Amino acid sequence: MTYDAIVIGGGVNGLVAASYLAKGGKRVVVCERRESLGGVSVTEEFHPGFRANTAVDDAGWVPERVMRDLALARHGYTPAFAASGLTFPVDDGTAVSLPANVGEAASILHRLSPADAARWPAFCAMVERLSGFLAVLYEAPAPDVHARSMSDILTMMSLGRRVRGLGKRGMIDLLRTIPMPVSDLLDEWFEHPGLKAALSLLGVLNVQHGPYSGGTSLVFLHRHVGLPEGHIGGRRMTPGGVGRLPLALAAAARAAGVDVLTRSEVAEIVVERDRVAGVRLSRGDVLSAATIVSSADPRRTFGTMIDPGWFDPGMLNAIDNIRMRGPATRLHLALSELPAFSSGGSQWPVEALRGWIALPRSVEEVERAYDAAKHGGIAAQPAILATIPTLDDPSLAPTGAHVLSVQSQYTAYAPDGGWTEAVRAAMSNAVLDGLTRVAPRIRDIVQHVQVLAPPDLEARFGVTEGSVLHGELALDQYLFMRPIPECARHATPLEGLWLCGSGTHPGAGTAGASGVLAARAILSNRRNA
Amino acid sequence: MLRTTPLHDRTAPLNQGRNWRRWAGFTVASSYELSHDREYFAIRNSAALLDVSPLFKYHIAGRDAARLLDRVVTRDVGRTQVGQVLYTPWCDARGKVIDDGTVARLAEHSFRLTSAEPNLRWLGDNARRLDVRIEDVSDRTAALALQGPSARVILERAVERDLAAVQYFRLTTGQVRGRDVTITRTGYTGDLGYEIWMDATDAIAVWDALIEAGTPYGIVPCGILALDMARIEAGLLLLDVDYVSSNQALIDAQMSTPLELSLDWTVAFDKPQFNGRLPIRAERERGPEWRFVGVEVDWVSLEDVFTSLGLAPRLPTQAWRTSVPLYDANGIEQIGYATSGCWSPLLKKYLTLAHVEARYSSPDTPLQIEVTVEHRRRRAQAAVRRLPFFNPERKRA
Amino acid sequence: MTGSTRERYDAVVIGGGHNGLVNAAYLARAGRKVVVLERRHVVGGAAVTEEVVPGFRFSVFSYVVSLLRPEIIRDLELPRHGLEILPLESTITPMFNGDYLGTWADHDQTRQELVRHSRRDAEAYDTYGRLMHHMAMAVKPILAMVPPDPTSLAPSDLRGMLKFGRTFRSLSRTHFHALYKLMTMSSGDFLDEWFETDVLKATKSASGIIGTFMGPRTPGSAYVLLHHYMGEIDGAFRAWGFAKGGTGAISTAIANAARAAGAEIRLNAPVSRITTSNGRVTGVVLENGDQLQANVVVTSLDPKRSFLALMSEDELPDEFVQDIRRYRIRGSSGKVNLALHELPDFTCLPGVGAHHRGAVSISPSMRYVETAFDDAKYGDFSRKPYMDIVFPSVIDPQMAPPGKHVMSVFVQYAPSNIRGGWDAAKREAFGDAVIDAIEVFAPNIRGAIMHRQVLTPQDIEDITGLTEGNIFQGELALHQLFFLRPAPGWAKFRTPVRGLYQCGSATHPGGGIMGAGGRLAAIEIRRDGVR
Repeated sequence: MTYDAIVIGGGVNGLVAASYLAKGGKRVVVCERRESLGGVSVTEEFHPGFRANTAVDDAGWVPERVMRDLALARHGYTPAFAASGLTFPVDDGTAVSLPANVGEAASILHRLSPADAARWPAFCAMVERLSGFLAVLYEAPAPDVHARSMSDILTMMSLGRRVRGLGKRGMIDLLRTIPMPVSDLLDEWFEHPGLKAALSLLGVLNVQHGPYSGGTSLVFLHRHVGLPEGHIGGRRMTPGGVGRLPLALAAAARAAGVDVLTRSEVAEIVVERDRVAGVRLSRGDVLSAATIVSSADPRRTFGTMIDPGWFDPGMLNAIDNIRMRGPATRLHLALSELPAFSSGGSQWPVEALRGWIALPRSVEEVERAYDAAKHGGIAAQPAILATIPTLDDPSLAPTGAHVLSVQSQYTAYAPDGGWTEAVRAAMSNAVLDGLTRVAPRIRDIVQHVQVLAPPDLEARFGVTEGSVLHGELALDQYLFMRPIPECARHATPLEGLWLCGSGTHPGAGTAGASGVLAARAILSNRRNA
Repeated sequence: MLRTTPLHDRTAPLNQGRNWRRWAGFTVASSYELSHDREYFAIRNSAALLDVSPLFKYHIAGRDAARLLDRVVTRDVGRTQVGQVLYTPWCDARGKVIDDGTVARLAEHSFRLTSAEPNLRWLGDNARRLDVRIEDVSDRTAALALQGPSARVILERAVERDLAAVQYFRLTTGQVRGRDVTITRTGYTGDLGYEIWMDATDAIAVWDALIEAGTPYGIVPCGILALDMARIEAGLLLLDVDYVSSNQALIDAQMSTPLELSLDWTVAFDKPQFNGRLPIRAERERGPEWRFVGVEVDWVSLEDVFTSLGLAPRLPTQAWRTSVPLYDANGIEQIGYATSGCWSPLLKKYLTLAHVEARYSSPDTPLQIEVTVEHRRRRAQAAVRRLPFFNPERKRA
Repeated sequence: MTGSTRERYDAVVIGGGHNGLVNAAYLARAGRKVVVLERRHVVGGAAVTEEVVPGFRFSVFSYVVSLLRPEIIRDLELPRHGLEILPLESTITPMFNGDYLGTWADHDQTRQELVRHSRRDAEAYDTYGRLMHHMAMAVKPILAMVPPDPTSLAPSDLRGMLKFGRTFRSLSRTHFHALYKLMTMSSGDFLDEWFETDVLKATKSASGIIGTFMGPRTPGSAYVLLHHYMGEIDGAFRAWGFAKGGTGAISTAIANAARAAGAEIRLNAPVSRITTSNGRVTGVVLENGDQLQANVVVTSLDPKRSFLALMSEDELPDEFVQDIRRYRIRGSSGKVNLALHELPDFTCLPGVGAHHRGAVSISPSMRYVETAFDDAKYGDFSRKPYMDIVFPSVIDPQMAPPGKHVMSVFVQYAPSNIRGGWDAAKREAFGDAVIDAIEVFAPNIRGAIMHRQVLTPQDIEDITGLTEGNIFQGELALHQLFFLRPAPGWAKFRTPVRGLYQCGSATHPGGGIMGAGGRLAAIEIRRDGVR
């Protein structure tokens, strides 16, 4: 079969890129290795009758333009923002659950610290302002700091103007904040240890860094791109789970004329005469196209799919050096009923459980969990962020039953001693111990626990080292450095090979922003026109 | 302390002037006698024996050994026959030369690569997903060069067999006093000659055997000074002298491509892959900006420069390795620079190796060269010459 | 005000550390009537040599020099005033297995040594060295430049940004990206891209954490790697050197140059207050009540001391006060100075040898250094600290009585905010931890000690007045560098108070015995034309 373009991987970015290419007049096929589309944005059955958001709790920010261009609402994706953000236990035995409404959240915080309550609105405004700027940055190709062409310079200038639009103080805040450890940022704003602990988790989500590490403020801001003011720790909710998004995207892609092949693993990208010629699937057939767009992560694309002889070994070293380091283990608990939560005091109201439940009591506790992984091990006391998706979407479990999903950090990808069943069991135990501190009887209602450690996520989704972000979000892997400078504008040094996955700008868990930029770059490329 | 080669016990007592220099972290003789004249003439008239053990040597073996080398070097290794040796440069991805050396195909899946600088890391980086073992055998392999018109007869006596069948850039194996050696008909003098590769522990025995076999034929232990003159006559490049490795260069202008080094003949453009292929191919299409050529200094003009100051011409007694400006024939514009030079006692010519802008590279193009006489910078006439300056029949015969 | 005097100067410089002295020297050379007010009985701040035990002279705090700006050495003719810098030739790192890793002045020797550990790393080391050379070349002009404010549209800032941009543009893409990585990565991750030998990475990354509250795995620590590479490129000495007579000799030389230019230096003259009137500086009041009047006051103290201790908040804008409050100083290192009757005998290189002429780095593995940081992160001193050890008396025999030695041990980590605060017991425990950790590699150390001086960050603060005992006057973290150092908008040596300037290590370009702040501040003061 001959196509104009082959998209490797039917994840969110792959589907978005395919749709845009098809709308641009290309004949496009998407080759997905798995049976289901969506990459890491899937909702899957993990125990008979129980479904969970396997790898991520939030489908991520879909740029407004993509929503509109691909008519995603019409295709069935209409996310709502969660009404509550973070929930965390406090010392008096109760829990604090922060609603998305700034004023309400501030009045709740008053109980913990009047000073923190007073600063909350300004903090929310700061996060909104700075992450809003990131959104602008994310809708344009990665800035070319060595710009020579007029259009690049104009892009830079307009970005510069946008930065200036933040005002002098806003700009200083941005430049100052981004490299900061999230712990320093939070120390500047707040005093309550529980509040800071909960917020700090948002700065380390899916990165192998502790909250004391520089650059985690960027992770915090990045996480809030596309969220309205006040939605600190906000998530997008859709009936049916995060897997709703790829279904809508697939529908949009098919409507645009894209062939979507599942169970079609690309074994090799075929190169002829210094340019790509097609792909060979693992079942043997060859598809031809002059344009190959890989949404697989860069380590996987360059490391397993293509003859390294076509590339500068120095560039491949840089690819090998991309830090993937998925730090998180996902655990999904099938529960026979809604667990009762209390932290020594009265029982938490059900409303509180709708939030993202952050268990660490201090930033230090999170940092200590990181230390274990930093030294090549697994945290004995992991930092836990839990959610009960069935409260908002009962369809995910049998009537009366519930699902509790846990994002547990940290673990080294290849811990000393390796991954064994015993290690997984110990990890599951550690998480249950952690949960027991706030849900004392949880063990009694657990029917099944699914443990997905980084190697499991890797095997399932093909994400190197279990990095659902396709490469750690860090300053040196950001903007024109993502995934590596040579490929920051989605083109690669091999003619016809492009990257569109989460490993490219802006990527890192944004949904479709990389795909649309890649497609636009391909469509505007003269040689492909 | 600098390291010494496996032959140090033999070479040290011979070194009359304790005239040592550094080569790749080793102590080697600049010359053994107080003057290197006899050593130079041995290369051209009888035979010279050189300790070239400081060369870096890599053994590359495995099913994909040829594929690895073909990714790295510019010549076509896949098509090389067993027993063949190639001279080749290798480049980075931008087509800038990293190093040059020889590739010897010892067996179907076994090669030895020699180089001037360490290359283990680069080889390893190129070996991604290949079934190949790369071993740095520099320390356990010693190397001797036997060079000069009598080299064959001496070596035949030492290995006790006829070597007429070993053609230029071919190899054979044999034994010297019961020690296994690999013999390649290669060298750095542009003369008839061989290089002998052996286990470091056998080096002394082989040296002794060669000296014994060679004494009746006038064999002379030879240092680097004489070699340097011979290699200029032969028009052979020297890393760090005639060009800068792209690994070492601080700015782009210091780097060279194979075409700029006039090594076009070493570039197998029809190979599907090798580092630098596309940029070098593009360069071939637009033509290289620089060429590497021989430049001969005009004797009469040189003499004039000296006589105008009341001096007789003074010639360098050793090869020099400094950068000397070259100008167009009118002496107006600098169009290149010579990087090595020497007076050839054999050819009675003042020879230099030089980088010139491509438009000044055709043979016999008149140029001017800077000459410093009595602390003053003068210009002498010079002309581009085809390399090598000296190319005796016996080299290939 | 009884008994107090009132005197008038063109400029008053608070603090007789190297930056204050450099500043005074430049101002005096420009014809200003300048006085330097030093709280202690010696000049030098953290760069002092003191005879703590008779016959033994310690570079008490700062102990090596590499970053002192060459233009200052030339302009102030410091060699004529007694400055002589002797090279430190090598670094060795003893390892737990009894081996060691050494880097030496000679390239072949270093290569040979690295080959023992990894041939691949020996090759990478050269390439790495060249890259660092490029980076240092690119960053060097920035050290000598008043940082432009990228948020400002003022012509001088735009010109500055242009110059800044050109500096970066002059780098090739590859070098630019490498520099960017250096600015943002952890030294551990950065070095992982280059090397496989753990002890080599540990030793290199250790130089990336000196004076910071970061571990080798903390993003941002790679920049300090470069900061400490800067001295390597001016050629005269390879990386680090000693001042003959100790680091105090540098201060003395600068002080002599300042005096020769006409500056007055007052010792034992602590300042109690900077006085202002209507947003203008008017002078200072000393603790003894003396008032000195001047239209220019330059503080070389750290910003917390200058603005929060010597001034009252209502004299400064709220935002500025807030920025200074959140400026992070975080002292992280201590110092142990030893008087020895014999040199330590390292198990890995027995006897007295060339390695005693260089540095000994106690950084046997990445995990060792990172674990040392973990202790400090949670408010304790490192049980097994990273140490940078030198023997000044081997290079400069006048530092100790004949046959005897002084040993300088820079120790990390010793957090200034140790849990429960520093006290005498903790100081001794810290000193013991240091000796224990050295003893692992040099078993004779305990018996060789004649006298031990242990300096915690608290001691450094008490003696020198440096907040949290940080000799860099503030962490060298990305959000505290360049136009953000020490506070956004106030990186050009000026302050919100007219006539009040800052010139300490807390100003651009930052810590180390560099003197750049002192010089650049003097230039800015002359540019402003205030007298």
